[in-house]
Amino acid sequence: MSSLQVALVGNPNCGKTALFNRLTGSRQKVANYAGVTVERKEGQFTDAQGRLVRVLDLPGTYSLAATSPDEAITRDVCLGRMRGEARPDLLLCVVDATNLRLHLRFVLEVRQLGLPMVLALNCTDLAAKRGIGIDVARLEAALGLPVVPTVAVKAGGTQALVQRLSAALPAAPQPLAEGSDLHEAVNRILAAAVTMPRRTAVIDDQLDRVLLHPVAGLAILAAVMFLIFQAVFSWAEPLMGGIESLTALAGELVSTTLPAGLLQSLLVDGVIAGVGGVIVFLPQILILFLFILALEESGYLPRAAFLLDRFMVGAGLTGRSFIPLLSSFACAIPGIMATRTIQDPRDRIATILVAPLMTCSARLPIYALLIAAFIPTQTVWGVFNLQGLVLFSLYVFGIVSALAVAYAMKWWRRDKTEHTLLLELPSYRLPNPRDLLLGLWERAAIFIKRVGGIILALTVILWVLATFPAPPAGAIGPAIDYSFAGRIGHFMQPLFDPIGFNWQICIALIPGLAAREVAVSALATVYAIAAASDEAASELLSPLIAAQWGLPTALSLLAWYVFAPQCLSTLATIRRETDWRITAIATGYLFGLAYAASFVIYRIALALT
Amino acid sequence: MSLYAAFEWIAIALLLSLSLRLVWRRVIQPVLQRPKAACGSGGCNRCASSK
Repeated sequence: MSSLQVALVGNPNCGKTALFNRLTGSRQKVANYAGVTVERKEGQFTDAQGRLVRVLDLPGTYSLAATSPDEAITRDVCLGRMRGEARPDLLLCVVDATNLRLHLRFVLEVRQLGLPMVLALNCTDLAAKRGIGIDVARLEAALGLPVVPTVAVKAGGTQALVQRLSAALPAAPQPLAEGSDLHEAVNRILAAAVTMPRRTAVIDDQLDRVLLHPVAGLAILAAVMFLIFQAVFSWAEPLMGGIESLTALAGELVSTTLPAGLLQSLLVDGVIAGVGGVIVFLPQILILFLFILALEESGYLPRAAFLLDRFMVGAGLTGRSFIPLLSSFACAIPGIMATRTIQDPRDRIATILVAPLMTCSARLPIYALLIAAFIPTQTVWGVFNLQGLVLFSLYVFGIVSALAVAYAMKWWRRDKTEHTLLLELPSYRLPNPRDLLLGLWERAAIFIKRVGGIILALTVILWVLATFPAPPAGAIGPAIDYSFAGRIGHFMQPLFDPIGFNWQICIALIPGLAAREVAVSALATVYAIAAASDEAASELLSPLIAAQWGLPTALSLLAWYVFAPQCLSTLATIRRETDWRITAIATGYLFGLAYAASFVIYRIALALT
Repeated sequence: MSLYAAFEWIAIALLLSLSLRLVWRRVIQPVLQRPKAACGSGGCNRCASSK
C-alpha cells in the first residue's frame, strides 16, 4: 500500500507543531509565540487502512513569498523545490480560529498551488470562549475545502482529522481568478461563515495596557526576571542538600564495599565526585526552566520582545533577535538556529555573534558553585537573598555585554539602517500544568542524559589523566603533580597566571570545552584525587575551593565564564549556520573578551582585597 | 597480579575506551565534519545552507 505525504502549513503560532505532536506522537517543542519551528520536522502514523502517513511539520509563514531562511523551507517544500523531498500529496493547512482574518489570507494563497488541501480549524475552544461563531459547513463551502475543527493542545478533534486524512484525497481546490484581491476574498468568507462578538479579548487588552506600558511594563519585566533568580537559589536549597547527601552516601558505600585501589579511586574520586558535583545543580536548572516554560506558554515573551525592541534597535539588533537570544538562556545552539526567523542577513549574523553571551543553563552549575563558595548566605534589605542577587547580576552582565558588543558591531559597519519590528502578539493563556510538568521532565531527562553521557565520559578520561603515570619512587609532593593532567595544568598555568587561575582551573578548562559544566566535575575530580593523596578527607567541592582560592580568582573565573566560548558544540553550530570566517571572529572576540575581563576584574579585586 | 587487580585494569580499560568513543562521536566528530554541499535552497535542513 502506497504512503501519503502530508505537509502542515500555516501562519506562525497557529498550533502546527502541537497538532504534529498529536498526530505522530512526537514531542517537538511548542510555545505560545511565533518562530518556534525553524526547520522541517518529520513524523509518521499508520491510518485505519494500514497506510503509512508521513507528516512534515514546516516553519510558520505569513506568505509563500519567503523573506527569511525558515520561511524558505516552507515555500520550497510546498513548491516541490526542496532537493530530496517529494512534493506533498496533501497540504494540511492549520489556522487559528481566533484570528481568521489574518490566517485565511495564507489559506487562499496556498490554495493557488493546486494541491489537495484540508483545513484544520485550530483553537476552536478559545474562539467559542470569545464568542466567535464559526459555521463549519459554510466555511467549507466558501473555501471549497474540507474543514476539521481541532484543539491541538488538548487532543480535541485529532481523531476526526485522522479519519479525514485516512479518507480519499479531496479534489484540489479551484484557484482564485487571476488578480483577485485576497483581502476582499477573506472579507467575503468571513461574512458568509463567521460571526464576531462586539468586543474581543477584553482581558488581553487590559493586561496589555499594563504589561506593554513603556515604564510599568519594563518595571514588571525586570521584577519577573529578578524573582526568577531569587527563586533559583532560595527554592532549590533543600533539594540540593538531599542530592548532596545521596552523593556522599554513594561515595561511602563504594569506599566500604570495594578494597582500596584503582577501581575504588575511579568510582569515588572520578565518577561519584565528578558526576555528583554536577547533578547537584539539577533542582536549580529545573526551577529556572519552570519559569521559562510558564512564560513561554503564557504569551508574555513576544510582549517582552516588543518592550525591549527600542533597546535592541539602539544596540544595533532588532526586536526579532529577542526570541533567539532568549532561547540562548537555555542553550546557545537552539538560540543560534532560531536566528533563521530574522530576515536581514546582517541582523542575523549580529544576533548569532552575541547569542553565546547569553547565560546558558550549562553555566549555572559553575556560577552556583562559585557563588555558594564565596558569597555568604545572607539577606539584603530584609528580603533579598544575596546569592540570588549576585546570580541575577551575572545574568545582567551577560545581557549588557551582548548589547555592548552589538553596539560596537553597529558602530563598525557602514550600513546603519534599522529595521522595524513587526510582531504578532498571541493571546494570553494560562500555562497548562501538564505541559509544564512534561517540559520539566524533558529538561530533567536532557540534563541527566548529559550527565550520564558526555560528562561521565570526560570525568573518566580526566581521572585516567590525573592518575597516570604514578609518581616515581621517592617523589616528593602530591601524586597528581606527576600525572599527565598535572603536567598539562602546570604547562598552561603561566598563560593564565595573569588572570589568577591556578593549575587545577587550567586543567578544568580543557574538558570544559566539550560542555561548560564539565569544568565543575573536572574540578571535583582533580581536588578529590589531590585530597586522597594528601590523606585529607574528601569533602564537598564548594568548601574546598573556598579554602584554597582567593576571592579575586573566583571573580576572575566568573568573568571568564561570562564571555569564553567554552563550548565546541556552539562553535560547530555557528559554523553550520554561517561560515568559517564568522566562526573564527566569534571564537577570537569571545576568548579575547574573556581574558581581558578576567584580567581587569582579577587586578581590581587584588588591589581591593 | 591478583585476580582483583586484573579485573580492575580490565574495568578501567573498558570504561576508558567507551568514554573515548563517546567523546569522539559527540564532541570531536561534529566539529570536524564538513557540511554537505549546499543545495541552494535557503533554509534546507539537509545541507550546509542552514542546518
